[in-house]
Amino acid sequence: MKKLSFLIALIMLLAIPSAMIAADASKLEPYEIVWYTLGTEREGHQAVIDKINEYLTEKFNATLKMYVNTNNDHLQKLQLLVSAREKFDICFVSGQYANYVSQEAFYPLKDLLQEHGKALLDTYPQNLWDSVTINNEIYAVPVHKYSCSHYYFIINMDAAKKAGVDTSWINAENKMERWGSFVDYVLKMKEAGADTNGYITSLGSQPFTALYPNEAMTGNSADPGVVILGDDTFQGFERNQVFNQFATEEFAGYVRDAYKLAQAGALPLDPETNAKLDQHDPVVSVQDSMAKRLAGYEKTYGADFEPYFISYAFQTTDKIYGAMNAISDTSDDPARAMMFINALIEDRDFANLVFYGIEGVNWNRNADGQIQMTDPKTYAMTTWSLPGFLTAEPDISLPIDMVDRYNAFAKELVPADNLGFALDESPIMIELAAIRQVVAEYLEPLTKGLANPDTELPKFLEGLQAAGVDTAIAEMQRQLDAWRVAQGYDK
Amino acid sequence: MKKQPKTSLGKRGALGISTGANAVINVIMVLISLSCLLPILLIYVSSFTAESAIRAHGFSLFPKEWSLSAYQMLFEESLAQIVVSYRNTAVLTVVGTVLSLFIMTMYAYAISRQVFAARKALTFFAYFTMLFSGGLVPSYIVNTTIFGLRDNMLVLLLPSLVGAYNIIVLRTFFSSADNTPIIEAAKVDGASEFRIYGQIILPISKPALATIGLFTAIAYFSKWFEVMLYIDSKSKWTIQYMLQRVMQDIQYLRANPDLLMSEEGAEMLANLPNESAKMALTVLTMTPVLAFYPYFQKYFVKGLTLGAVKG
Amino acid sequence: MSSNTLHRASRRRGLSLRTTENLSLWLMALPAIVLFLCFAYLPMTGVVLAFKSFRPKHGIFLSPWVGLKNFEFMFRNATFWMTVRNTLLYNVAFMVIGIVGPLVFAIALNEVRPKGAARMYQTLTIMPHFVSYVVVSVIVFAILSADSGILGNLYKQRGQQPIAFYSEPKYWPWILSGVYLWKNIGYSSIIFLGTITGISDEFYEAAVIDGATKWQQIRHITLPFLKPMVVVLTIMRVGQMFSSNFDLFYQVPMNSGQLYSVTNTINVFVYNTLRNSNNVSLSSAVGFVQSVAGFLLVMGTNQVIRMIDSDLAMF
Repeated sequence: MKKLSFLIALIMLLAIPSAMIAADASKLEPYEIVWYTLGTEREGHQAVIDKINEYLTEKFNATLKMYVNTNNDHLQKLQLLVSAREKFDICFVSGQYANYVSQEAFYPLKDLLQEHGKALLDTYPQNLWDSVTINNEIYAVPVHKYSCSHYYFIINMDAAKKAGVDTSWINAENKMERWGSFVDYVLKMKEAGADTNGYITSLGSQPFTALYPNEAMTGNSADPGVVILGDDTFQGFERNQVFNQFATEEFAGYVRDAYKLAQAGALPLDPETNAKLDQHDPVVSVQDSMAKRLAGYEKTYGADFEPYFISYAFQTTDKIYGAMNAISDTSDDPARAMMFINALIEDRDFANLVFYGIEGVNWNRNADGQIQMTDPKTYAMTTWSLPGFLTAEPDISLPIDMVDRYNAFAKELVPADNLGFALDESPIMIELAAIRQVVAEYLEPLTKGLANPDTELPKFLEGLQAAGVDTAIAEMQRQLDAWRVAQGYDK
Repeated sequence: MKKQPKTSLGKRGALGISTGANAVINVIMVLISLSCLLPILLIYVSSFTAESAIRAHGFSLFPKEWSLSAYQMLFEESLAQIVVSYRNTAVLTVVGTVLSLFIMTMYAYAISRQVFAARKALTFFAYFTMLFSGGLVPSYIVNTTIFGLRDNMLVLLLPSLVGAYNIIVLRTFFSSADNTPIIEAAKVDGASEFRIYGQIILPISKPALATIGLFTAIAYFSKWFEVMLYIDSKSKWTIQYMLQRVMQDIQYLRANPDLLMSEEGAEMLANLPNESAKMALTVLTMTPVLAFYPYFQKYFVKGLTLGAVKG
Repeated sequence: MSSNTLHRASRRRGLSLRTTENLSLWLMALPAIVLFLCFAYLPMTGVVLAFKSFRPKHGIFLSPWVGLKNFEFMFRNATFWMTVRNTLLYNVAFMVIGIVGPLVFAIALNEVRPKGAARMYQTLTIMPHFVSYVVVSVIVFAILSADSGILGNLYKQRGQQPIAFYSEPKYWPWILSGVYLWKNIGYSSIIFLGTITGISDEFYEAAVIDGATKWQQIRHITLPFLKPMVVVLTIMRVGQMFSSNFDLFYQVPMNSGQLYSVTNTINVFVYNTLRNSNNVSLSSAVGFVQSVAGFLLVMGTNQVIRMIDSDLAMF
């Protein structure tokens, strides 16, 4: 008798934990997660959603309602969703992140990550979380990918060979030496008549930012007010000292180079015109970190391309803002939303499903074993915007060893000193409004060589002064210093 | 007053202009028409031009290579979706135009009547809405939270049923047509305002109805912004929205050049349709309108149905 | 019977009939009144956002007041006043172009023979209306581009340096006005054509009998008949005097910075300033300024017209 009761007790003791585990998923009420994201709804969309829902129901008794929109539509819709406090769970968010946080649009995530976001916390580097921390709280999950500035010019080696111009400078050690050689190269190519359109490429302000890496206080490198980033950049400034990058010698030099090229007829006369890869133009500018698309370009356009890297790759807060997902403050079950995002990071097959669809239906494996979408696509998500970018396998538009390349690249990536700093523009709103007007008028013409720097650069700088750039920069410095103290970086 | 018999001056009659003046005007008209036609022709031709030819040689009336790929790209949606979108647009346009004309002409008629005490007040009431607006966010909040029109096709129909501009133009048509004698005569016969409106004024206002009817029909036909804001289900798309989504992304990139330089922007650009698709979109927007245009046109180009217009 | 006699006759019919007439007319106006109230006046209350700092969590009406703070970024900005000047100048020019042009066009169209040709001219000239300014900007670029455009290539063929239109401000008031005229002349003439169609032939026949020339017919019959429409359209344009078409002034000049002194209008200014802000209160403030300024202008204009000829005033 005693043995039987002991057995019964043992069985009951064992049964209880397993009953608890089995009840875990069903303990949760069914919930529909509403997600506003980027992509287009093709014919195979619903079938994939059904499959996703099978998985989610089993895992945590949830289903997904996905609204896909194009970039422009999404931007407009999100603004209204937030303004009208409509109920939804997850949304894609980019540059307007800090703004939305100030509008209390998003749910605070620190605790939620601890409870349901283990995979996220484990795989993400700490500086990624730091970059999205505002007032000591996290409000969005960045997409873990190569978010950075890595700018290069594509040099068409076949065209160079034909024109008989030397290209050995591309791999020179010294950054400024490379740039100088680049300018000479372009002039020589122009002389040799190698171009197809009468011009080589257009410049603009991006190569300038690439040449002298910096961290913009407003998050937009076209606004004056930056601090230096890395060791090989603007001269004569302390770390974390905010200055006007357009008033520097470096900017003057760049603008003069642009003008020199334009005067020689190497740059387009109109601000709109750009050199074209498929026209086999000798020099084309790109922003593509790790040069991961280069092989693809070569295959497509049938030419030999080499990348001329202007400077090292660097990571600033605004780049990380470029692709994130946030949980809405109006969500009824933020935990469920977090579980979903976590699952994308944790489970490779699930990530593949959400990114690419169902194997055999929406995609197949090619000879190299890489995912290849059907042509025409029956399922189309904007994959760079999805959480789990490094979890899902890279499809044929990316190199098959992308994760390894990324890990190697991440070691060389130079992060900004102030990741996560979000400027509050309201004290200097008037000055910034005036400054942006001046910039809109002068920056592009100057950096594209369309305006004569001897006459226009002084006007630009005077315009900035009149708009109150010194006041703005003083305020930026003040906020930055306060933030750094609060973060514990400075005393 | 009786109609005068035609004079011996022949077809143009004494009402016509001299042959010399006619010739000069014709020449000027031809020049203006050509200046309108040539760019349109360029758009049509470019929509059928291969993208590679455009990138290499620019736009031309005699392209090096023809292609249907622009249209294929714009009509990437399934045939079923295209049919549904066209159906939505057609129903919206017809119902919207008829209903709108009905409601607006009643209002315009009322405020054109001298005897109406509230005439000036109601004119101001309508016109004021052209001057002041709450903006997008308040409209959105009102339409979604108060009227519950989210993902509902009524949001495409109702807010545009009345427009101050059209009402004021209609009112001016009614009041400047000097209908007072006819109205007063009808009143003496004991007709109500409704009867006068329906049986007398409307039939003789065909040019006004055709003009505003055309504007309204085109407005409903072109609707896409409200679809973008409020509609989630693909089954409720209009054809214009289906086509415009693509165009809006192009404009979005153009207006955000810093985005063009980012990874994301490069990705977007690679996936965006190209110059020929922009042209194809214009063709698809313009051609249906031109198809139903002559039906309206005959009401406001005088002389075609000489005499018949006034009934 | 003269209309005066008829009016006296109607007054004699008594108050009750007048009231019945008014009641019927109120009923006729009712559907539109309801629609205006729901979809225009109700959202219009959101205009208070111009004086608030919008916090979605509190909703429009409970968001905190900030007085005139939202207006400072405009009024204290010198460029803003420049854009106001540009906007006004263009709108005055466009008012003339947009009314006189189509008016003359409509009158000429009405007279020209054969009628089939008139129909064809009319149909062809409305086509530009349906071309969006984005596509227009592409076409204009294809013509004017110094690098690859038709004009640019012509210059290069002749061995001359092409004019970089997108860097030279002086051409653009003309280019933009020309584009505006091209886009609108046909479509805007429809209203005038409709009005002219409504003029009874009897007037012209009577005039012919009195020996009037074509020109006199136009001056004494056609134009007076068109006057109320012209006046009303002008007044409505005056109300929009402080607004500009964003696409025309941003897309067509390809947003070239060097042209800003002549292409920067209020809507472009707002776009450049608020682009990074996503700030509902600020854009609301701009809209408010445009509305109030337009409103004052319209009331003033209407008053002046009422003093000249009370029948022509809008209200």
